[in-house]
Formats: sequence, C-alpha cells, structure tokens
Amino acid sequence: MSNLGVLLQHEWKLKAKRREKRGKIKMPRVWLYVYSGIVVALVVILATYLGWKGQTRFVQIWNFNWGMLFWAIGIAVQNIKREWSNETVGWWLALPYSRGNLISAKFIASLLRWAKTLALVYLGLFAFMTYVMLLEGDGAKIPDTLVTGVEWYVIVLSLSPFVISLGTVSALLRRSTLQPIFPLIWGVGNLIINAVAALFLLTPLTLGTKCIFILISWVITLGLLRLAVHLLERHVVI
Amino acid sequence: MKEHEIGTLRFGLDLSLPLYEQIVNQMRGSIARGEIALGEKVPSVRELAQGLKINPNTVMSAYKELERDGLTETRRGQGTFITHSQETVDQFRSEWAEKAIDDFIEKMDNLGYSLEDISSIIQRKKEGRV
Amino acid sequence: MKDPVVQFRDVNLSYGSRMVLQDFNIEIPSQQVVGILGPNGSGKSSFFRLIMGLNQPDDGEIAVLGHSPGWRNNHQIAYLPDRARWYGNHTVEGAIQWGGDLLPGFDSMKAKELAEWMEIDSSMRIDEMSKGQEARLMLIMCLARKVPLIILDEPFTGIDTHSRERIMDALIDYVTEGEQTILISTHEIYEAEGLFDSVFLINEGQVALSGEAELLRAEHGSMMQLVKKMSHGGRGL
Repeated sequence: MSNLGVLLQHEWKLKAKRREKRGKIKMPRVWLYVYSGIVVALVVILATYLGWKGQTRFVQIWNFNWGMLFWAIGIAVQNIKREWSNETVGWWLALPYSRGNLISAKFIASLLRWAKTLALVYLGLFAFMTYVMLLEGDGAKIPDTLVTGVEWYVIVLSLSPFVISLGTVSALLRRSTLQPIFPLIWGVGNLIINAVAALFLLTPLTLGTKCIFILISWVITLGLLRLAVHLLERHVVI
Repeated sequence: MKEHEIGTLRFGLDLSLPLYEQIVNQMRGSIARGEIALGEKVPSVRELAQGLKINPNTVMSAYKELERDGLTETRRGQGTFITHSQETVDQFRSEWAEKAIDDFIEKMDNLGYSLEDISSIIQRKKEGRV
Repeated sequence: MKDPVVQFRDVNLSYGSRMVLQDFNIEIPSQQVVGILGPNGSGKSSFFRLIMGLNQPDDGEIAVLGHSPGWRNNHQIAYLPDRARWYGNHTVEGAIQWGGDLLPGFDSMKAKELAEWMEIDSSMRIDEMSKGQEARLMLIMCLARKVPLIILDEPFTGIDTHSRERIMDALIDYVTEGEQTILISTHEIYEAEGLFDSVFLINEGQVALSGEAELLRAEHGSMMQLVKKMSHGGRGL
C-alpha cells in the first residue's frame, strides 16, 4: 500500500473518543441508552402526530443542510485539533512523509467520515419522512421526496470539500505563527459558507449554476489545501 | 551514594565522582579482600551496567583496566573471569598497598612529618585501639 | 573523530517576541549516549524540534546526519516528543502494526520482544494504560527502530519508579548492542546521569557547559546538581 494509503487508514481508524480527563466522569452507559431512548420516543411521537394530522409538506425541511455545512467544518477542525489536544502532534509531524501526504490523508479522512455521518443523518431523515407519509396514506409522494433528498445529499457533499479544507486550514492557522490572520480567514470563510448556503437553499438555481459554484469551490479547496501544507512546512508551532 | 549488589559484588556509587574509577577501585578491592573468589565469573557488561544503571561503555573500559591489571581474563564466548592465580592477586595487592603507603607518606611529607613522626603516630594509634 | 551527528551554527529561534535559542552552537559526537540537561524552559525541547525540522529557526545553519532538517531526513531518526501521549484508540498490537506500516526501520519482532520484556500486555488499549505503561510503550516505538539517531525528550518525567527502571534497563540494553547516537533530555532524574557518555548543559537558550560526562564529574561533581544550581537563579556558571 502507498504511504498515503497507510496514512489514510490510520486517520480513518482514529476515533473521536476523548480520553478521560482528570475531574471528568464518563456517563454510565445505561444513562446514554435511557436518554437516546427518550429522544427516539419523542421523534416517533412527533412523526406520528404529523402523520395523524396529515398535510405535511417536506419543503422547508431541507434548510437543515445549512447547519450541516457547519457540522462538516467541526469535523475537519476536530480532526486537526485532536493531534494537539491528545498530545500526539509530535508523532504526527515527525512522520517522514511529505506534508502534502499528511494533509491529504487528514482531508480525505475528514471527507469520508463526513460523507458517512451525512449519509446516516439522511437515512434517519428518510425513515422519519417515510413513516410520516405512510401514516398520511400518501405513499405516492415517497419516491419523489427521496429523490429530492438524494439530490440534496449530493449537493451538500459536493460543497463539503471546500468546507472541510476551510476547517483544516483554520485549525492549523490557530496553531501557527500566522495566527493573526486566523480571524480573517475564519470570518470570510463563514461568510462564504452562509452566502453559498443561502444561494443554494433559498434561491432557485439552475443545475448549471450549481455546478459552476461547486467547481469554483473545488478550485478554492485546492488552494486552501496548498495553504495547509505550507502552514505545516513553515509556520505550525508545536 | 547508592548501594548496589550484583552477584557477589557490592558497589557504592557516587554520581558526583567519575564512575569508571569507582568501579575499577571497588572491584580491585573486592578481589584483593577475596570477596569474589578466584576463577569466579564476573557479571557481563550488560548485567553490571543494568545493575548499576550506568553506561555500558563505562563498564567495558573498567573491565579492560582490570584485565590490564591481570586480575581478570576473558575467555572467548564464555565471558570474563577472575584470575585463577592467587599469586597474581597477592602481587597486585602488595603493589597497591605499597602505592597507598607511598601516597600517604608523600602527603605526610608535604605536611612536614618525618618517617619517625609517622611511625610514632601509628604506634600511638595502635595503643589507643587496644 | 567522526562527523558530528548534529551540528548547529549561530542558530536563533524565537516564538513571537520570546527568544528561545540565542546564538546557539553545538556539535554532537556520534555513537554516544548524550545527555541534554538543563532546567525547564531552557530550550531543550525547542532544540530537538529544530533537529526534527518541526519548527524553523529564525537564522543560522543546522545539519543533522549531514542533511538539513525536515521530513525527508526523519526516516533515520526516532523521536520521542516532549509530553507526548500515544493514540488512545490503539492497542499495543495496533501501535506495533502502525510502527511497522509507517516508521522506516521499525522492527516489529523486536518491538514485541521489548513489550514482553517491559511487561506490557499486547492486547491492552492505550487509553486504559497508566502513564508509566504508556511511557514504556512510547519508548518501545523508538527503540524498536534501526536508525542512526534516537532522540528522547524527557523520557522519565512524571513516571513511576518501576517504569523508570524498566526504561533505564531497556536503554542500557540498547546501548550495549547498538552503534546509534542517543540524545536524552532530562531536567530532574539524578539516577539517569550515569547513562551519559557526554553531556551538554543548556541554560537560557545557550550551551552553558559541555564535555565528557566523566571529566565533568571529576571537575564539577554531579551534573544534576549543576542543573539545579542553574534553575535556582544561578545565572551562568
């Protein structure tokens, strides 16, 4: 396997699980189940209520993707931050591989992890919507709604490389000698994400326009990744 | 000062003094006093280094010095052993005693004591002890 | 005399406005156990990070094993970072697998032997280990590599006596067998100083004193006492 392949495998296996810190007590598993059970029950009650009431129109619901983009940024930031907070950054950076490989492995791992998380969210949502629509006795709507959902999944995923590279760069900037420009990048980045989310969610764009936006975001992504490599080579402080 | 016991050898190492000399001198002492028997195997460099928590190179050079003294001999593939020859040990012991006395006399000479002065001091010490 | 393993010429390093190393000059002889001693914050860890190319100097020249520092050079260096932890989701076996996959010169068989000898259960997860056990594992990750230079930054700090003795034994064992250069920094453990062939005392970003350990002992006594003197405000020597 190539170096990048092995690095990627390592990144993929890294669990987000935090080490127990002094003074922090792990929640007993039973209680986790209890609370998860309560949440699931509430959701089922809500779905049943919606289905019973009828006339539910799944239009606004796709706006949750706005928040999803920020969740993606969180995943990317965590993936970098973890090396520092778990004090493994020395091992990571001492690896005798090009900084490009290190960054690529982090980036791809974040992207894959995010694709998985997003897929799970969508599956949950599909289950919810299907249940409501079945209760409403409106089974014919189901295929259309699901197709719309899959479209949204693809769009959000296509915008994710940009968001994840932004998260990666921001997290590194905060730990580098170029820290003073962190607020700038972070502010501008968030502005762009909000603008893009508004455009995609609130205005009727043609497929062509969407593709152009996505392509531009990919080009910016490459630039951001290059910047991340440069930060690792020259500016990161450990 | 830290006390260590490795096999039949006993060491008291002081990390504020050169270690090499301490090891050589203490092993010479053990051999001269007969604490470690003739023909007995001495610990390997690794064992002694780990026992004393010191650099093996230091132990190695100390062992070389003992070999130059004729107090130990290395047998290929078997390790290092104390010499079988009581004669060598005795000879070495008397040489060292001689040297110690010479050093002592020189120091006393520096302080202005003659040999007669010294022997009368020693006489007094002997009487005091009895 | 062989070429020095590490050579710094007039190196300056600062973090923001804080000078960490100032006109720093050093030549580390090869195939020795070298102690890098000095009080906390004297610049030992920064010195190591420069060797690894993890931080960049403001100016000056650095040569490590004949090359400029950086990731291209690090396949021949095993480095135990300061205050490091290991990846919590690994088991010991997983860590050894990781080493075999990613670290050049890593000998997985040797690592397993060391783990057994250091009394580390190979199925144990790292996040369930005591600090001492984790420290032993991290040392194994370094000592199982066949590389010309090994750098251990504070391998004894905050570790129980039993683990410390195990680590010392492993190091001595390693030195007996090998021809590597080992750099060890420490600021506190008196017992470790018997390990060193030569010693560099670092204070306030400069080499304050250096030489063969035995000669320094003859002249100044215990080196840890010297370090203590430095850290208690005794500026210069």
